[in-house]
Amino acid sequence: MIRFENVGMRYGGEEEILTDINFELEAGSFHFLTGPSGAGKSSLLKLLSLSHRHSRGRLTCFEKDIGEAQRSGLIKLRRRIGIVFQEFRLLDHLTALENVALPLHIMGVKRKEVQSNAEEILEWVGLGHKTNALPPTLSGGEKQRVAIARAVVTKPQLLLADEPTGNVDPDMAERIMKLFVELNKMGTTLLIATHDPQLVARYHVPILKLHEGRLSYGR
Amino acid sequence: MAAEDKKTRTSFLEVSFLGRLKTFYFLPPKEKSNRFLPLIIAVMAYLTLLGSATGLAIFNATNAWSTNLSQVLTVQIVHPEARERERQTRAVMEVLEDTAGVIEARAIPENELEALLEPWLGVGNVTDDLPVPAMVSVTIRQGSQIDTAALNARLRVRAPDASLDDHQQWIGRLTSLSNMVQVAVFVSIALIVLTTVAMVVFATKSALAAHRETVEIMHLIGAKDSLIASEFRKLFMLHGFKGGLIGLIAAMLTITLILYLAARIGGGLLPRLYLTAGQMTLLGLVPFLTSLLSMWTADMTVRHALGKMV
Ligand SMILES: Nc1ncnc2c1ncn2[C@@H]1O[C@H](COP(=O)(O)OP(=O)(O)OP(=O)(O)O)[C@@H](O)[C@H]1O
Ligand SMILES: [Mg+2]
Repeated sequence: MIRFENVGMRYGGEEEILTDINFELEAGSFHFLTGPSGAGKSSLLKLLSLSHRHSRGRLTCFEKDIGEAQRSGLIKLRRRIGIVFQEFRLLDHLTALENVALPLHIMGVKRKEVQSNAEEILEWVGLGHKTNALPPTLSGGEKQRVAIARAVVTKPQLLLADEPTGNVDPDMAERIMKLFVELNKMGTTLLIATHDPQLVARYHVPILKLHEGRLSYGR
Repeated sequence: MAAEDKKTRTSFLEVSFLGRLKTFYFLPPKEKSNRFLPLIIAVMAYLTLLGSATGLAIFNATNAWSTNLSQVLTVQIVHPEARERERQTRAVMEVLEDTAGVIEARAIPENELEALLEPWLGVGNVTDDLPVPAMVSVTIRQGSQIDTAALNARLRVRAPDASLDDHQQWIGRLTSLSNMVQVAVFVSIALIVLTTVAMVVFATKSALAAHRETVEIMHLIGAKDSLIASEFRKLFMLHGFKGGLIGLIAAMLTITLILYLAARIGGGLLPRLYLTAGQMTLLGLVPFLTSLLSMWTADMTVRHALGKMV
């Protein structure tokens, strides 16, 4: 489903942040992406979420060559991808419920359905009582859960999560991981960036290790 | 009743189709990045309206004037002696009665002529010593092509001191003045429109910068350019309409005042200044034009900016 062949990436004209990245994500697979801070995990997720263009090599996403895809084509592909940003990136003036409902609304889903799906998923991440809260009034962990709810509400084919358990207690982390595993079982391809070794140890899934912009497989 | 925290915004999850016109969807409800744009647009609309009104009023006045004048010929008989003037005047009247196309020929009585001169010379100052020329006012049938040179020649045979004035030179000058004013008004309006477009482009860019994060998030979760642009279209349509309306109200007050003052002067000194109902209606469309212009400009600007995103 996703294939990187000798992919390089840079910000502006500087040297490459990611160099010669080669890997493949099969449909329905589950991988961790690890590496020290600054290794380029978030940058790699930017390539995968189609928010940044690679500067070298060949990137295939949903059988489409991203290097040659048109802008309008990328917009359609993005709707098949859910992403939990490391810094959440919620819209501060929309309520938790509206933030979660936004991706469905954008896709043109009927309003009633949007509302019930968004409520259901918020309930699931334990925020059923915070539907009308604005993000600035939420705690870090609560914001994170809203961000997760927004990423999964469309039942994306590819789910990218950047440190999704970084701000929550172990119980909530467990709960969130359970949701991810559930989605994975239903066919969602999963890639979770984390530098939490305990989390990685608990799940026996393949690991992509980033170190100074280079990628290696491991377990 | 307790002061419940009043909802300042209707959610996109609740609004009806019509409600969408005034509800913002992902931009903050109190979007303040361009508070001054409506005022700027109001000034531009005001200038446009005053310019257009001036142009139209001058057009109307010169049009009416030259239409009236082209139906009137004037024969002037200049002779120092009153008796000779009267003789030639009678001769002129006889010639005119035999001329096809002439509806009416009227010798203007001396006291009327004096009345015309009084505003300049003062009452009672027009003495018998002052040789006032005799005047015959000739009304011709609309559309009849009178050969003025031939008529002049025929008049001269019987009244050597008569001369025919068909006002063509005067009409010609009037028309070129009116044309010049219209070109100037048109150029001014074109410049104002260009300036307005530039202002809206800047304003849109600053709104985009103020809401960069919001726009980026919308883009990243799969919003189409048209959807993102629609929010800005709505915002700038409102700015444009507000500005146009303020400008229209101010301009209408000014124009009414000017027309009132012009009407008060009255008399034959100034041509009558007026606007037709159709022209007024046309000016009333300005708020719609400014909202369309503002909306369209913002749309293009946003799409252009989004086009640079991946
Ligand atoms: N927008 C940007 N412009 C320029 N350089 C950037 C940008 N974002 C990240 N970088 C650089 O790219 C490198 C990788 O950053 P990235 O955020 O991908 O690391 P990371 O592995 O996600 O780190 P962390 O675990 O701390 O989140 C860093 O050296 C960072 O300084
Ligand atoms: Mg990171």
